[in-house]
Amino acid sequence: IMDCYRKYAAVTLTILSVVLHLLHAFPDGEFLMQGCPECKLGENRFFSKPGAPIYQCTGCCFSRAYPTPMRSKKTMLVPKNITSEATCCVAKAFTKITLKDNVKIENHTDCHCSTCYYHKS
Amino acid sequence: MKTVNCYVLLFCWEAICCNCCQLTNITIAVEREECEFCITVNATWCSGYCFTRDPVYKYPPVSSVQQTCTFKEVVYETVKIPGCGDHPESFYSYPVATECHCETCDTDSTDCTVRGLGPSYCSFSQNGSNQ
Repeated sequence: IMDCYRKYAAVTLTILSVVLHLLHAFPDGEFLMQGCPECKLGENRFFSKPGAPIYQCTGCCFSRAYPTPMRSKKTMLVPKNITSEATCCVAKAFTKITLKDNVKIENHTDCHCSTCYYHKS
Repeated sequence: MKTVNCYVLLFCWEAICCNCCQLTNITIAVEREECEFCITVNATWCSGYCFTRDPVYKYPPVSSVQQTCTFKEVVYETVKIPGCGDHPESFYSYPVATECHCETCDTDSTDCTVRGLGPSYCSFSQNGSNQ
């Protein structure tokens, strides 16, 4: 019975180390993983038409928050106790398209994690 | 035993694979300017990945929410900073996150930026060490 348990433990540890190895093989930054998809192009179903797809950058990017260093607080007009460093999935390249009724939209062609513009409340 | 192994695998998978927004241990530098030194304090704060998108319709600009990994709940802790020479010891209060989430950045309490000095920045270290 003990031999059986040892075999199970060995198999478990082997699978775990393979998984760890695979995970660490991915570069930092845009990280593809379960539950939080990588920042990349996806079709925008609202604006897409048959034969004329419109692509949009969507996905997960890294951000963090921490107490503002005292040095930074001294330079602030209105000191804030907390600092947020955030990146968002945005277009690295795009083309401009004008739809009927003169509606202008972007068709994204490349994405990356970079400056957020719509993250403040 | 099979069940135990399954639970161990599941737990490890969750622990190593969840890069979502969560509490992590960080080191904060607290400066004592008059004495020109810093002390370090351990705290928990928020970091990880949040889902965002870049709107294709921008002209004119419409509100479109992008979420960042930020605090949901925060408490304040106090640390004693040693004195020096004519300067007695003092106390400094700093925020510690107790819960995190993906949400918009609250400009009332937070400096919303792309890159800051980092939590362990000290003006008085050799290279102004930061993280």
